[in-house]
Amino acid sequence: MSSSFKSKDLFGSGPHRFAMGKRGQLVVSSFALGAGDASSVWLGLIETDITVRGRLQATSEAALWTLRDAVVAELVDPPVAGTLVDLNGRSWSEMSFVSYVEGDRTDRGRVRSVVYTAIFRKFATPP
Amino acid sequence: MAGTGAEMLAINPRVVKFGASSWESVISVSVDRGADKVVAEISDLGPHVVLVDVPEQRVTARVTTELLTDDLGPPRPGDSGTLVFFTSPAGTDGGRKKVSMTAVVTAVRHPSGPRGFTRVVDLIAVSSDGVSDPVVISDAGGER
Repeated sequence: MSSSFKSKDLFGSGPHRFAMGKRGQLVVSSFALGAGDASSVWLGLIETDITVRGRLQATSEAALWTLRDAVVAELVDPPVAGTLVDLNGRSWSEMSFVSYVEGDRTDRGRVRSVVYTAIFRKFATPP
Repeated sequence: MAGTGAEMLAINPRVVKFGASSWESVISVSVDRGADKVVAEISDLGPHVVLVDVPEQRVTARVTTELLTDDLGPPRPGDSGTLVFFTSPAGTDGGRKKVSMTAVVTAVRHPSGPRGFTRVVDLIAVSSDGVSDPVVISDAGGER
């Protein structure tokens, strides 16, 4: 099956992989909060990040730009949460698309392609 | 009819020119192709590579010449010119091909072997626009 964000196949043109970010408590040093000892305190569960790393690919420069523009068009302010689904059918609801970073160059071989890293976050307080 | 080349090896080509120079006693000219960058991607669906591409590649040439005298002159690394040589499948004029490429010298060495010293010149072929194959193969016709 193909992956999707808000039911849109943004990354299906090329290979891509999903990774879950760190889960657990945000722990900070008590010293950083003004205390005079080496203890630490928890501030609550950190928000869930899902990172998609892959490569958009197309047969022409223009077609690749169409793919890139489609991804960037999903970066809106304020973010609008939606469901993110990976290639194996696992889904995460209320995910916001927060960043998209491309590699340092477009690769022009048999196909036009560019690597990217896209990050989706489940905000504790949804926008 | 001109065409693009593949990797090749020419043994004892009669004529090898580089820029305005004509190189004598050439033992061999080899032209090799390699990938400077290979894209190989795996998806989340299984262990196998699903995309392979070569977006950056390099054509290199090596001209090996028998040294009969001192070798004090050019070429030197950085020298640029058109490398031309002719090949023929049976050492005859039939089917002769002209191979040419703009190339830049990257190394000049003088290794010794059982038959004495040789001069080995390494070059990298340059494409005119990044898209065109830097190696051009054409019918030699009567060209010498």
